[in-house]
Amino acid sequence: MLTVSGLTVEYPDGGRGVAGVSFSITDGESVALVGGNGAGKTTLLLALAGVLAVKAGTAAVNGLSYSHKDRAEYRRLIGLVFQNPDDMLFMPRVLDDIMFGPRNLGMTERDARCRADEVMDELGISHLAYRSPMKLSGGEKRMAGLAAVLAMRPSVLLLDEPTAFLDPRARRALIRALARLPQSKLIATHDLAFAGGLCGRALLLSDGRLRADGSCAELFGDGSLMDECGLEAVPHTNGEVSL
Amino acid sequence: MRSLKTPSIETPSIETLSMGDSPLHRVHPGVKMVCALALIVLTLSFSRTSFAAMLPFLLYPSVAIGINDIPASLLVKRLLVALPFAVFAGITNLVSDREVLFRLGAVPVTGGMSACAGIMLRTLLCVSYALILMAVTPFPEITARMRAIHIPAIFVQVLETTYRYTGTLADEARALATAYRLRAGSDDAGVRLAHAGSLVGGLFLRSADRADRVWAAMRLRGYDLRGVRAEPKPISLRDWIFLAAVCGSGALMRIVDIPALFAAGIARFS
Ligand SMILES: Nc1ncnc2c1ncn2[C@@H]1O[C@H](COP(=O)(O)OP(=O)(O)OP(=O)(O)O)[C@@H](O)[C@H]1O
Ligand SMILES: [Mg+2]
Repeated sequence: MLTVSGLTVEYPDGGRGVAGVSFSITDGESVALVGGNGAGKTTLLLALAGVLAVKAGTAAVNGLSYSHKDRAEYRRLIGLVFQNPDDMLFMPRVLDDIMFGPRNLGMTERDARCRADEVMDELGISHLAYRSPMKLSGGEKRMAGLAAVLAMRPSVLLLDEPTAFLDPRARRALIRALARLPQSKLIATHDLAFAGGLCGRALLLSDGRLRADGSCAELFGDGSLMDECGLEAVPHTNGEVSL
Repeated sequence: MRSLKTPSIETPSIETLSMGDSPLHRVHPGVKMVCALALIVLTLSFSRTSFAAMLPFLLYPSVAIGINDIPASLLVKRLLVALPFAVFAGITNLVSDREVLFRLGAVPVTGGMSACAGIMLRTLLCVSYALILMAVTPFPEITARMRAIHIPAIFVQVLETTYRYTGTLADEARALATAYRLRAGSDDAGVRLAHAGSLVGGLFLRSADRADRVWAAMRLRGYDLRGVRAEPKPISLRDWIFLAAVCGSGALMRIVDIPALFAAGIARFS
């Protein structure tokens, strides 16, 4: 359960960030975060993960809000999959990258290894274990990054543009993998078909503000609302967005 | 992802090598670290003007390359990076010390020349020990081991972040260089002087930005000052033998000036 209220982030150099965003996501719910370029999606996710300093407002996972004292525990509950997987893969082998988090949690080598094997199995990437993350394809990197985050067993997953750079097959594999995950998810994306297929609900962000919060079918079909937010409505969606 | 990164296919990276399997890979990481440190200390303990007496230490890099599928070209490339620093450190001696020690044929060899060569050899030897250690031991294992023996956390963390930053810097440099080359007209054109400034500036900004994100990703996955401590790993008899062999032979070569003995032997013979 993720609860956000009045979250405001400003960049020190005057960049807009996000202003007064409030919403909540229940356990296991998948919510799409849509908005044009520069709407503030990435900023919101980074702030929720505790990477960016928040100017006002609060965010809480399962009742635990982000504070200096609890930040380690808070970060453990939230998993952020970065827009660019290159930024989150930094160990010599995929396996080490996946074990990085569990090791930091203080797990023994054997437990960390078990956890990594489990996660790789879930995502079907066991064959990548001994490869160097630098030398994977875009889709493989995406999966490895997701695995690295899942190995922390977070209760809320934040995903930033997970389908960017993926070919149709890799995209389908990712959707299948995400749909199977039990966590609550907040997924920033430009891919409305993907959002509609995976999430029942969407948050519409524009100029750093939350413009609408409702079902995907309703929001994505609303021509004038989408237009105002710099997006294009998906024609004839009656809750049926094809993948 | 980013298509501008040309993977370096010619030589595997040190990182890739460190994941391999060879006799040296299998030695206990702590033992390897002690050996590398011992060799560095021994090499640095030679007097300022010694040169020939250090030559036997070349044995270690040669043997390590010989038995571990470490391509010599990789070490040479990295050593070339260190060379300018070594030259810079040594070159002042040429001016400051002009006393002639001996003559090689017609060429007078001054104390400065010997010291300069000595400094270069010493630097290259020490860098090659460190490179070999890194080529046969995964970096995370090295730092985990450092934590296990209670080296101050802040020091280990600086080492880890520097290492990652060097990685991202190299990565960004490759991407930038390819992007530049693709738009520079001819393929093999170097960077034009007029562009060099903004290119280098851009490179540092980009990699600093990226390093920021990598750092965030690390923290999000629980990385903090404490880091990961290596679990105790038993030191086997083979490890002890390795330790004794490396440190013992190193100490011997430090105490006994083998090249001088040879020279004396040859002199007596002729
Ligand atoms: N590091 C930064 N410093 C200053 N301003 C920034 C910074 N990062 C983003 N911004 C600004 O904050 C606003 C929101 O950016 P953000 O990256 O969150 O958008 P986004 O919705 O993720 O866009 P996209 O879909 O293009 O990824 C933009 O106006 C952007 O210029
Ligand atoms: Mg973004």
